[in-house]
Amino acid sequence: MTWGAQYMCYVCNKCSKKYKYAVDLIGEFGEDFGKCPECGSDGKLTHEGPVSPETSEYEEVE
Amino acid sequence: MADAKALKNKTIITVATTGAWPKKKDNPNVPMTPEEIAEDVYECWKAGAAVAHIHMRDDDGNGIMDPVRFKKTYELIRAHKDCDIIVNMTTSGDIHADDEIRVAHVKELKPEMASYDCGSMNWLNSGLFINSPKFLEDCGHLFQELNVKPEIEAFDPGMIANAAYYIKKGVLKTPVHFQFCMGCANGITGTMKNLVFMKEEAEKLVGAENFTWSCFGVGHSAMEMLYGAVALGGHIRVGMEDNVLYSKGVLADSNKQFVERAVRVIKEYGREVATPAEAREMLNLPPFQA
Repeated sequence: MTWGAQYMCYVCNKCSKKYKYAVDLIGEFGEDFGKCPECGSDGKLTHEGPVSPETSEYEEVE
Repeated sequence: MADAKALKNKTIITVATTGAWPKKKDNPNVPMTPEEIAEDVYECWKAGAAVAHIHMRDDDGNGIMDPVRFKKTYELIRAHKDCDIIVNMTTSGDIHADDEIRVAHVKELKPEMASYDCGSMNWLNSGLFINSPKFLEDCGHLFQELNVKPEIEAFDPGMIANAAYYIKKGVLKTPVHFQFCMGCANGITGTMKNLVFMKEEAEKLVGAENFTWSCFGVGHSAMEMLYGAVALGGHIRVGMEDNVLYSKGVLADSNKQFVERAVRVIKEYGREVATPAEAREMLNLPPFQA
């Protein structure tokens, strides 16, 4: 029983960009995990979940 | 019967068509009804899958351990008289199901294989996926009694150690078959280093001659695990249970699409795709009887 990658979805505190990180990449991003890919600011965690319409509006950071 | 040397170059493709979670809203091509699942399995068999790992859904698309639906799906698959695919039924298709209902369909249908999740874990950071010691002991004994081969799903190395414990206790019988579940939330991450570690851990704890193994990666690790399994001489599981995306941002058209990709990778590497008959020999299953 599985269900794909899980994501943590954020809205940037500074520029309001919506973005998401896959939790299986925490080790890869390290301290940068959760930071806005545009401005580098911290974001507010707004949603968690798999690939779905609910997370599709968040840009994936890779 | 093929000779052992020829079988060493064969890779078994398992297709996990549906799972318990993704719905049509996540990918409209996920098969949900017994009819959809059976036809999907048939198409995947024609494409090269030797094993079908199946889950059932209720009318709202939620995972359900319904023996009636399992039976209907099984019969529809077997209605294709040319299709000898190995059917592997989940015992973990609804985290709220009690231990009895989780194996009710196994008792009734006696499939060739069924999943055996070798430990408990937090599930999707929001729930509990319980596989109690009593359930695992009862399930192991039941599978032996019914001649159902457990597909031992290991989400982390501790579950391999748990399998070794159950082998020593007689609950599981060698040769066992592992499914290394890579990259799932709360499980081991899907990297080549970790895949090698899982394989070596199984060799150390169970003995290299006492197991076969397959793996899959969810999300980003899907392709890495596919190539890794082929390169390391393991077997591979693909399908929409584990990935609703075929590639970044692209929804999968079908499960067959995943099987076809696995076939291409296996052949390009210089290995061959195992037929169901060959897979039965490699998994120590009896020959198929229609």
